[in-house]
Amino acid sequence: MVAGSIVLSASAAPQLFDFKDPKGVNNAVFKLDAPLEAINGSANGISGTVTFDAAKPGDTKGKIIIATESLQVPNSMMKEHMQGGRWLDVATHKEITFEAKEFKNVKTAGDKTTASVHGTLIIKGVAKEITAPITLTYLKGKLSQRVPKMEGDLLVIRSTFIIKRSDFAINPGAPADKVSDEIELTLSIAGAAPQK
Amino acid sequence: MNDKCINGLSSYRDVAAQAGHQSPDVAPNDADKLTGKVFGKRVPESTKPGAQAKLEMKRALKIIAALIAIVVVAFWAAKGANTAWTKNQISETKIDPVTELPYPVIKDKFVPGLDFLGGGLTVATLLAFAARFIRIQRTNSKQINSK
Repeated sequence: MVAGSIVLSASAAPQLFDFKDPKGVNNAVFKLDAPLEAINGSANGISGTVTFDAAKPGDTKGKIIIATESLQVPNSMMKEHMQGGRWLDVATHKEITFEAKEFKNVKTAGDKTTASVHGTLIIKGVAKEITAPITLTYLKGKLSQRVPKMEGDLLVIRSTFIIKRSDFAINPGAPADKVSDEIELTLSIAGAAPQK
Repeated sequence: MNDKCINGLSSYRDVAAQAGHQSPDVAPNDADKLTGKVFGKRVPESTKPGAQAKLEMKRALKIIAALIAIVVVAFWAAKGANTAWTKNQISETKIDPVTELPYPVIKDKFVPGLDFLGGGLTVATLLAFAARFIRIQRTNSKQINSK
């Protein structure tokens, strides 16, 4: 009885999920669709931690970090420009971060929770408060399928939202017909919480 | 047309003059004699080594320009006729079997785009244009008459 209650309280406690992914699956995809040119790219330098409680998914908090040097586009010259001072200035601003502060409209069905997450997005040193739709999928006991001989849980986060390039001083003078002001960001990441 | 009636018999490949059973001071006439003079001047000029080299260079430039244009268009089309910028890498989307997350797998691959096509065709056009500027010097009838 006592042991059962200890197990119950342990499983109900918030878990810390680490989003550093040695498999390189975690990624952020960005799309800019201007009338004259479409630019697509991705980043896989994801890290950060999220505290998640399966019993109270609305209390989720955490911070996700993208290493700006991991941003990729298919053209090497375009990549040089993108990482340069006028665009993302990766030499100075090495990270893009999003810190989740509040979850609203939380709906849970089975292992899946949908919500609107409110938090602070920092790109190129410019901080903006944003709200984005988010889906959390709690995969209990699935860590061993991903990392052999390691028991634990997985938390999968998916989110797609749009930001404005001009809001974050990413070459605001660039013509919008060639480089869209709107950037669609898609985050597809999974964090691991090994059993202690 | 020329006022001295040079090549009045309209010979295209060689030079021609007309004479019947007449004495040499009557036939061929002055126009035919001048035609021979012009032709005689032109043959060594157009066959001297410099002129021949220029003619060959002109022809070579045109052939190279045409070859570059054909190869560039064929290569661009064979690599998928990419209408965006040239790519040095391509991305394939895979799905992680456990989390079902889509993730890009980046591979090094050269895919020429419109900038490659435009650059190649510009080089071909410049070569063809340069060929037009190689001039092989020719003497006209007025210069012959004045000598």
